[in-house]
Amino acid sequence: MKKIVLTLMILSAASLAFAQQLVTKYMDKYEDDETFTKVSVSSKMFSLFAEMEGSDEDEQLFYDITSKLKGMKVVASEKVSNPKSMYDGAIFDVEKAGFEELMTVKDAEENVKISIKEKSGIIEELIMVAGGKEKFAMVSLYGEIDLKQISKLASLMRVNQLKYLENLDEAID
Amino acid sequence: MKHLLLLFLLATLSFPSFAQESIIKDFAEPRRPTRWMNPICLYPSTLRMVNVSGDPEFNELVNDIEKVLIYNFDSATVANKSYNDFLVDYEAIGYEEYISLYGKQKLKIVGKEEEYVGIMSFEGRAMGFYLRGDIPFAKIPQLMQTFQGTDLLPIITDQFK
Repeated sequence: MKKIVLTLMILSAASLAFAQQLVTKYMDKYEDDETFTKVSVSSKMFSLFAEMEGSDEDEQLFYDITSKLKGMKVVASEKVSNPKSMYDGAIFDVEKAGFEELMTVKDAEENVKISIKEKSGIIEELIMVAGGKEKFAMVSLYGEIDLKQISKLASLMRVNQLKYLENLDEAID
Repeated sequence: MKHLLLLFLLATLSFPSFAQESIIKDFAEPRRPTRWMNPICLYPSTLRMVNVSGDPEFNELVNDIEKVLIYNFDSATVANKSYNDFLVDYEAIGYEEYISLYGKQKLKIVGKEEEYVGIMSFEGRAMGFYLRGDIPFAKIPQLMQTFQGTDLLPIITDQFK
């Protein structure tokens, strides 16, 4: 029995690690390219984003949401030479990695696709790919994700690349 | 014999913290921009001096910070981007990554228990830092706001000029 539990634990840890590999692959690819910003945030650091000027309620909400997250990775560039092919390539990679589409936003300026990976009813990873006329961004949030709270988290963190997640409320209602 | 044992115990107990501080020291000392440019070393008393307005919340924030060391790196280290090489040694002894940001600006912080080390690079300059103590992470934005409102931040950033 112990061995089964151990095997299950190893497998679930491995699947989480595999899920993050997609964004890590992009981070590695553009490691030496300074036009790309690569950010990796561990759960320990989430508390840094708490807006201290916010109300106590906001602060508590922030802690509640981030306590279940294991991390966040971002790869973004304000100026890419081939934004469309990058966006299409990233969407292809996301689908190939077994993510389900949650929300798509298309307008004259930008294309945004938010996808999730679910296991036993729990969302383990959320990937957002955004491509504009010159911009490209890929954001991954992983851990235990509550979609209803992610939009609130996005507005609390005030990170530019997360602005599209603020609309998640509308997508799941 | 008792004294000898006590001395041995004291030496053994104090070794880990010095050993871990020494990694950044050993790396940064020979890479200082000039021989007479010493690292910035801040203790609770000096951190409290920054709080000219006497804000009790600020004192509370820095109360549990034991020591902060800030080293600037020379142009050769900045040019060959080797300023974060020492972080590998920290990670090898169990320091975990808190955050990393790579692009035009660079930032990486690793930590273990109550010790944090990191690098920052921007506008062709780079610095390494070591912090020992308990940091109320959630209150760091507030700490930075206070720093920006005082003379300490310009003192630190002027070191780069």
